[in-house]
Amino acid sequence: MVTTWIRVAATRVMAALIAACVLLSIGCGGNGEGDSILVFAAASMSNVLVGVGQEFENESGVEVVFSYGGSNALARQVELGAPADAVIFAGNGPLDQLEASGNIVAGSRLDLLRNRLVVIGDAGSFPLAHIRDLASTEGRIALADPVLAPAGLYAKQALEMSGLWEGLGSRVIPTLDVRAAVGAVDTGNAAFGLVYATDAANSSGVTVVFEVPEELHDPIIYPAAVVKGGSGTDLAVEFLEFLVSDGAIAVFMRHGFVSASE
Amino acid sequence: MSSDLTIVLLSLRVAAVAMLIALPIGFGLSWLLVRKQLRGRFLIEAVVSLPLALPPVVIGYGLLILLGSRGPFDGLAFTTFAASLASAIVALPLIVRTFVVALEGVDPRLELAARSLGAGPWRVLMTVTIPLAYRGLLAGVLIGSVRALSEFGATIVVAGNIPGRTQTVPLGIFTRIQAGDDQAAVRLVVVSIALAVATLIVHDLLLRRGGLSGRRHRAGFGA
Repeated sequence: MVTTWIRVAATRVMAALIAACVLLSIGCGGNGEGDSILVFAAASMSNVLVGVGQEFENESGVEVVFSYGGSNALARQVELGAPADAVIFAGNGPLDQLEASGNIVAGSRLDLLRNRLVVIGDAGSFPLAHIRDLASTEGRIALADPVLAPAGLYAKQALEMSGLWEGLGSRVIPTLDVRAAVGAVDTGNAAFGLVYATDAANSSGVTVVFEVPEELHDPIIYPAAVVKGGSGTDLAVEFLEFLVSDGAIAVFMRHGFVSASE
Repeated sequence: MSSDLTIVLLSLRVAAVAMLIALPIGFGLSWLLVRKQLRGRFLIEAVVSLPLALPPVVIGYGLLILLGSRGPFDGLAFTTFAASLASAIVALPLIVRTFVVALEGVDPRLELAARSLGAGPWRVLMTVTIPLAYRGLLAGVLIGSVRALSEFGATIVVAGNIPGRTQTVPLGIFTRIQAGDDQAAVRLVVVSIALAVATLIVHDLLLRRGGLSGRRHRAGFGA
């Protein structure tokens, strides 16, 4: 009765598979829910926050988990109930929105950093004398989608102010966030990108070809705040205090950010 | 950036919970569809199959409305459970379709015979129905798991992309591609391919061994 034997075996295999599912679902991950906070942060901070978060963990024993993305997209997630304890955005717009919808702990908001906008090209690109020179170049221009990330909004403002936005139309590639715009230039999928100076400095495959004058766009401010209703509100307050400490500011400055208090 | 191991373990966990949700529901639905002359049969089939036909992002959005802060199940969006739920819903149609075929291959007279000999419904299920339909059932479990492991569109909408909580292998790959970190992306791609190949091999192995005799399930009568 070979077939019977196989059937019994197969039924056991199935039972084992399901048991494995049960074990996996209980066992794996083991989210040491002890002391950890979740911070939603602008994509442009992904390089610098790794180190800052580690330093905070060393000092306080609290693990900081970061979820990066376009600030507007992150703000929308928080509005819909994402369990973030704190947010750091690349512009005031998304935070204003969260404040208006009552998701921010009153008085916790602070201006953390400032940044600059630059035009990048691939490693061998020549510098541009003016942003208008982009019009005489060829190839795609990557920038964060203005609807999803402030970096895109600043880039669009700069292109509009210099009368380029309409003309460049079909050459512009909107990406999910600013890191993706850098990635597009780095991998050769776009010839130029409008990104933050800090992102350009962190990527070896791209060169800055033009520094965009600050009067062409809104000031680039990085505000931070504690989210209401999170499980780690007190720890998030502590983390924000740490972010404005001299040690943390020094790390930010090493990565090319400017302290907002300057 | 989250470590490869964290991402893979989380992916397995999300898929496992998804299967724990989808398998009992899938089995119940297929059993109803095969064994009961339901009036709304077509309707149930259509609703169950819908996730197969819809873009996953639509499923994600629907879940986001239900689980988000303005929905009836506030507090569940952007959690590991939300990722599992998204995977479960997307895997359900594949499970039900495979299970239906498997159960259709079991002669109801055998179940009746077992009942007439005094076996209760649970015993009939465990000793007659499931052993006779095992090939199709296994196929359903494996196909469902593969689909759950590869879920992306619905997950990123309802669960976001939070390392250690909702960033599964496909989302991890996406994040790394976006950031232009090709090396890290390729590592997860390799894991992804390995997981898929492993499942397909298991699938093939179990089914082929069962198929050696070349008999249909029905032939289980006295063979």
